[in-house]
Amino acid sequence: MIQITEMELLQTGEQLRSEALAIAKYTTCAQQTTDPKLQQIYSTIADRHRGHYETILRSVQNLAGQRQF
Amino acid sequence: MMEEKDRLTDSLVMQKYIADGYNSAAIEASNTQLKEAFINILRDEHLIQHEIFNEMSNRGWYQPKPANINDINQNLNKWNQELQRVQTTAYQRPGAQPGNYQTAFPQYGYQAGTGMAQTGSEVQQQTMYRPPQNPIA
Repeated sequence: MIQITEMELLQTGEQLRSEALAIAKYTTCAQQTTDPKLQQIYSTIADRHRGHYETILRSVQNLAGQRQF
Repeated sequence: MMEEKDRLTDSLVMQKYIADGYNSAAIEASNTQLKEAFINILRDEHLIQHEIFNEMSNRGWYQPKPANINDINQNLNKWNQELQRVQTTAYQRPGAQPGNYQTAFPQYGYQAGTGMAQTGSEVQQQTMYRPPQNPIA
């Protein structure tokens, strides 16, 4: 049974796109910066965005009744 | 090559954009679980944004100007008057019971360094405020 609306699918796509961009951006920042503290901060933030991506993906997969990864 | 300040500024802008997106996504979500997921992530996006802001602020790259004390008090007076006006209007409905509402309502004011209400006990404020019920629950 489908438990997700068209709007939810659209919004999910938008947010996943932003999260993917954020992961790439913060990973690059961590590589470019010469400040050790900022390097740590950027890496942690990239991980948190990766967590967001996975959380949303799992939520939608659950709603769609598919198996979790 | 971007400089440190540019990278942090770019990060701040990105966090604002993403947080806006989650706010819209949460509002548009019909499913309670998905809505909760968006709201939880929205909160984390705010925490990330604040972390970046603090880093910029500590480096002197983002220091919002404090408001003038006279402007603060002027605005608080205006907002208190507006609050009294809307409450008075609310109790002009037919059949409404004014009771001691005007005297019981807390007055908010500015105290340097605290940001708390000048008068009105916590108990009184709790009894006056009723949060809206969640229509989804």
